[in-house]
Amino acid sequence: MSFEIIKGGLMTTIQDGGRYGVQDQGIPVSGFMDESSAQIANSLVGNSPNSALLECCQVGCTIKAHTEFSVAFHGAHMELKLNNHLVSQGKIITLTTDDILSIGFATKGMYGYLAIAGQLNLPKIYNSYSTYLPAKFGGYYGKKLEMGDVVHILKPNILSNSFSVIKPQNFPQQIVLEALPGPEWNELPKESQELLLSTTYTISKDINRIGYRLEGDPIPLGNQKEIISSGMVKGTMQITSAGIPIIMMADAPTSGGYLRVLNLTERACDQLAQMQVGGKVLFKIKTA
Amino acid sequence: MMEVKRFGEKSLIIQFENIISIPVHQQVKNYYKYLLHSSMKGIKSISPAYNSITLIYDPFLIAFDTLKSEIENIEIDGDKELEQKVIEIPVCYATSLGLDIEEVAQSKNISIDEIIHLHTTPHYTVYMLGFSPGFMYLGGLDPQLLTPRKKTPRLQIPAGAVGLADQQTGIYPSATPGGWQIIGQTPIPIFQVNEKPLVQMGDQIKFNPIDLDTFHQLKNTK
Repeated sequence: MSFEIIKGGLMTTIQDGGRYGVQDQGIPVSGFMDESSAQIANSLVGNSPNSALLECCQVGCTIKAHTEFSVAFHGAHMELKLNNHLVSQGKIITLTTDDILSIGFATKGMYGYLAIAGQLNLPKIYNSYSTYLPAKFGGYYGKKLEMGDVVHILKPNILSNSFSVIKPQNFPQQIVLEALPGPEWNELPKESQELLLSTTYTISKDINRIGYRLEGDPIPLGNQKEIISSGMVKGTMQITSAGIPIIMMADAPTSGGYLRVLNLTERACDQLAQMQVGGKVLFKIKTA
Repeated sequence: MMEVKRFGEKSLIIQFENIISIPVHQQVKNYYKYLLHSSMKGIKSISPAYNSITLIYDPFLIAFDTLKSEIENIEIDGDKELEQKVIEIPVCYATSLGLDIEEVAQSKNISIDEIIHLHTTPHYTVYMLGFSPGFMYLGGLDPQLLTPRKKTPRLQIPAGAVGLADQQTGIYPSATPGGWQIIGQTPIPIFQVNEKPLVQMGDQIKFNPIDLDTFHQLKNTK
């Protein structure tokens, strides 16, 4: 009971709700980049929301079924084809042996999620299935999925098609991201705070599961330019000593030494994950 | 002195005095140990650092304000010692492994033997683990060994490389790019997935010099 990877795509990894409780060893949380899309994909096939699934980045994967099971895809707009016929995201698709499901490149958004009804049969590392590529552990033997890899399904489920259909999200590429003030917000001079909240930033080419570097006017720092190394979480915006904002994402290191000026909301992290290079973002402090 | 601050929608930070010192770190240890063994609900992760602790919690199980007041009401009953171990780590300082040791010696106008002596004498305190899996932030470097980072980082530093950077010394647990001045290498694995961690915050590290033959012997038995 398995499926096989025919094409790996750009960076298809196994992710789940994250790896908690080992950050005191310097181990990042990892997990879904866009949590809400992943959780919807899981819910569509009756899995618990934080179950392990396939996270596709920018260019999706192609799989071949070796048994019968249902899947659902949600997130970035990637063309889905079942045996070369278009199928839509946000609903149940049932594969039978030798069926081929291909996931194309993202025309809107970045991350798409393929949830498999049932449980993936993979070893848990520190109580999580999430892949952490920099240290090569978790998920499918610590690596991204590639041609020839075979993923086993412990309890494949076949679902009727009567479940709900979720419309794809829009993923506008010019958005306002909500954030809370970070631990060093007040170390920024007033004018720099205002500059940060009035600048439209561009998503640079330096974006990955660890963090998103933004392009825009550098933010002048006050007297304090660095901090004594301290914790970071997903959504933390650091300002480097050169004044460049970087937003930490799922694979963020557990600690860092730059000023932590903002923390994106969970929703804003999901929105940012779906931004493409060149997208525009503006930050706004969330008021309760 | 301690302050509990919001840190995003599902984390908080316990901030202690803004200095690196043994007494402040003792406070971090006290709270870390208390929190590790507490039955407070909703805590998913605890990351101690030099002068702060970051907590990730489940906001569906506990609200920030509730958790904040629970933490503020913690009474620490005497200094909690973590099980403090002295961990000896063998390091080979041969120039084939300590890629920058000659350069560091020249820049300081001291001998390589003197660098080895200065580096292997202290018991270093593990202030925290962070940045990458198993990476230790060590305190206690001899001021004579303060060395700026390399101007251009190396694209690949082997796992186990021992380096100097400003006031820090440390070991690269896995092969990564990096800008530290490399003075040696340990043959023992610093981070192994799913194994009991070699080092915990609060432990002490002592580097023991070994020769190249011993390095290869130890490397091959791992």
